[in-house]
Amino acid sequence: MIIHKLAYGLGGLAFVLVCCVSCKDKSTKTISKDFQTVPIQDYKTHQLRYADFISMIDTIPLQTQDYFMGQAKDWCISDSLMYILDNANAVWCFKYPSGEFVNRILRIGHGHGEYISLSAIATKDSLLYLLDTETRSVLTYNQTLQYKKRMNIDFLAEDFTRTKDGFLFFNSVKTDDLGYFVHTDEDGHTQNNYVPAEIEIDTWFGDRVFMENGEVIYMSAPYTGKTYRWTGAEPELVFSADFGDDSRASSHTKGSEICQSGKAIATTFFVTDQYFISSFLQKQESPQESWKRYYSFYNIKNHTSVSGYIDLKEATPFCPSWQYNGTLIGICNTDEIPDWNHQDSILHESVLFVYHLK
Amino acid sequence: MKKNKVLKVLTGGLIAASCAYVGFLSYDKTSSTTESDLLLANIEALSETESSSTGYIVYHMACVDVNKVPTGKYLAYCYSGGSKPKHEHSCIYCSSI
Repeated sequence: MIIHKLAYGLGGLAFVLVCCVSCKDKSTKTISKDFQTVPIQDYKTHQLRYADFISMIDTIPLQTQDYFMGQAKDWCISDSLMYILDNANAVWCFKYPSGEFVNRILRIGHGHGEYISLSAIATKDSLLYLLDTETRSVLTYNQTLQYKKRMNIDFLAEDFTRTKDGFLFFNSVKTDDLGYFVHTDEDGHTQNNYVPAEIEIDTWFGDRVFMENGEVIYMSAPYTGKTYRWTGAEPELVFSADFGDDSRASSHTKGSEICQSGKAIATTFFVTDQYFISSFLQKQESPQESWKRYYSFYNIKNHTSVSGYIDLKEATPFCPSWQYNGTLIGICNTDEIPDWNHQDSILHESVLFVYHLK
Repeated sequence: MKKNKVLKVLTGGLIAASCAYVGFLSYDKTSSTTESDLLLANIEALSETESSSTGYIVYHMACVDVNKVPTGKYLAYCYSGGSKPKHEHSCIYCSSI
């Protein structure tokens, strides 16, 4: 009788342990019901013109006062205020869509409300979050850039976004213990991690890993071409880019190897109600042109797609890095744009482009 | 006699609970150390391509032009693990890639 009880007890304990271990399982096998493989082909010789996919472009000069804005690293928006992180570690706040200056901070250091190296910014509920990769922390500011608090994380994150119950981070260091995507609570405590890292990211292109279409969060680790949707509990695979013969070889497990291989490199993506847009690069053999960027516009509803490279002779550059309300957003410094001749613009100015899709 | 038996059972239970609690705490500590060790090992492995006196190189970020096409130049990002300052060199041709 006692032996039976003991056996039942041990069995129960083993069951609980198995449950606990499986909760820590990072191998996401969830595939969405509306999963689609996106065929990307015939892109090398096909030139895309703006008229093919864009209905209108808004040009918003950013009123940077007497400050110089470095290359934009990240952008986010909350109601009528937008925030820009530049590569000089300055965080800017402008009114949207006017581009009117609101505030700017550059607080490098180890003190109260200071940071060392920002990688990304995110906003939700009138709060702005700054990801400081070097100190592995997230600083919270209010909407006009007044410091509120700091929280620590225990891994190296290069990108992040806010969820309803906490944060999602992109873990850029390949380890056996931590997948690409880490879900934490509001205090930075790891809740779970997902998608085992298959590529060692020793080289990358700094594109965003997380995109939001309304309230829905999408994510894609560099080089993988696989895009996941956050369900609130886990990521589920929704799109997988298929480059055919130009897909990376499975033997290539480092970003630098894939770059050198000349295969297609999925760098970022956008998801709107109508399109899944894949932005990818390929190394060229031509001495005049070492790299080429391509785009694929896949219509989610009728499953048709058009892929190709953008005509670089267009007067307005095509530099989308973010998305908002079905539009694509890009930021450039006008002194980098060849033959920039905008009537309202001055030299050394930063401008925000809003690309309205057809 | 009966009191002694109850006391023994209670003491045994207390010892077992203490062992379980200490085991639970030390297990967490061990796993945390292993994780950071692994992280450091990975960073060190990555740093083999190019070493720096001020930190570990984690990755190279490609510099891009206004149309987001790589220019062939790279920005090296090095993270020391949090305590030391980050070493970063601006866009230069990187021989290791």
